[in-house]
Amino acid sequence: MNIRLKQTRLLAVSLTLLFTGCADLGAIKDFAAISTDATAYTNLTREWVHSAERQEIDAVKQDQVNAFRATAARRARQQKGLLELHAGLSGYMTVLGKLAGDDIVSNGDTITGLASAVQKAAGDRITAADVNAASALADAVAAAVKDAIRQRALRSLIRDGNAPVQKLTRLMRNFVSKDFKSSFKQEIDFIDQTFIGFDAIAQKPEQRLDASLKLLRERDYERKQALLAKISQCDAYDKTLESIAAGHQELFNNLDKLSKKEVKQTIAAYKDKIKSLYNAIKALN
Amino acid sequence: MNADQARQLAESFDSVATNVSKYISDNRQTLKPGEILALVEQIGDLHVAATKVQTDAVDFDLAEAKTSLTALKNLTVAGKKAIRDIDKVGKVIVLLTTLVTLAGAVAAQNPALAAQSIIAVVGAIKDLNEDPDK
Repeated sequence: MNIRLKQTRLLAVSLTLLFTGCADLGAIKDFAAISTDATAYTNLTREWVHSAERQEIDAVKQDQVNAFRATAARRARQQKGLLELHAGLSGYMTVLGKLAGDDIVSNGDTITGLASAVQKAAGDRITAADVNAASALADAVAAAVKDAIRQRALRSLIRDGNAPVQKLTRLMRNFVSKDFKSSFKQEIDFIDQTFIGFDAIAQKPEQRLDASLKLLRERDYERKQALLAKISQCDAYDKTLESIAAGHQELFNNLDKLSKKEVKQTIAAYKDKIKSLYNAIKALN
Repeated sequence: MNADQARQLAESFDSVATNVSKYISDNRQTLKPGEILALVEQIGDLHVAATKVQTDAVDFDLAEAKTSLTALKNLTVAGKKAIRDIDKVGKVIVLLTTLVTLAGAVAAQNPALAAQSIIAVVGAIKDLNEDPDK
């Protein structure tokens, strides 16, 4: 082998080593992926709409029934807007996860396949070692260039996305932890308060409604248990949204060191927390 | 009225309903059935009102969310474009690699390699022009 060829190979190997090693952003990818789960929010939003309908049962006047129906119709119209917030957040997180994924910088087998074809055509004019070195270099350069572009895009996305993500998660937390939760709690209160009234009437000497009240109490118990589970789901989902917001804030605070070990560990911890909260919500179903 | 004020109002209605219910409990011996029924009706009215203003609160916050939602949607579109651009960069590099190979084949006066390289260049150009969304 002549000196020039040896020097060329050495240069190729050195350049390959120089360009090899894309940033490991797997923790961000996993965090973003788990943040897209819409199941809990969708279910709670549906329950928010039904909450107004369910209170018709405890209404004692037709105009109250009509009013609950009108509110339920308004809530049904809100449903689309409420779900759009999650869809917006989820769409953003999906792109964030894609940009953080390694497959975006991988070249697949394109370059290797190309090099093999070239070698086949060239016969013994080019050795397999030369082809491997050349394709490895091309592969590493392509990956490095793509990694640099994706890191810039990722930083830009997180920087510009943090304010709307914080705002939307804050508003969604308001819905879940305040409006949905208080609507479910109010249902329980209404069940209890109506019962107290009818129980007081039933105890009057002229009324004999004990048996009916017992049945009502049993039915109310089932309804209240279901509502208490929904309230617990609101609490758990509120914590989920809090973790999504805090995780994104962590990314924003560490824009220049996204692949640092400490940042990855923190993001991975948020991902684990969100995962366990989702499991808790599922268990409450 | 804003969302927080609507929530406070809903809480107030709930609180009054709780007090009316407590009044029934505390005075069940002396209240007449008709009076109790009237109070139960009031409780219902308070819950109707609370449900309505809770819904108002959501409307207020949904209106507030619009700007941030639009911003996030725009960023998502920009992020998708960045992903397409990165894919294109990879394809351009493949194209350049094939062109370099072709140039090498021409310089070395190797017709077999040149022919193979031309096929590869054409393939790389086709790949580059392909719509990644298809």
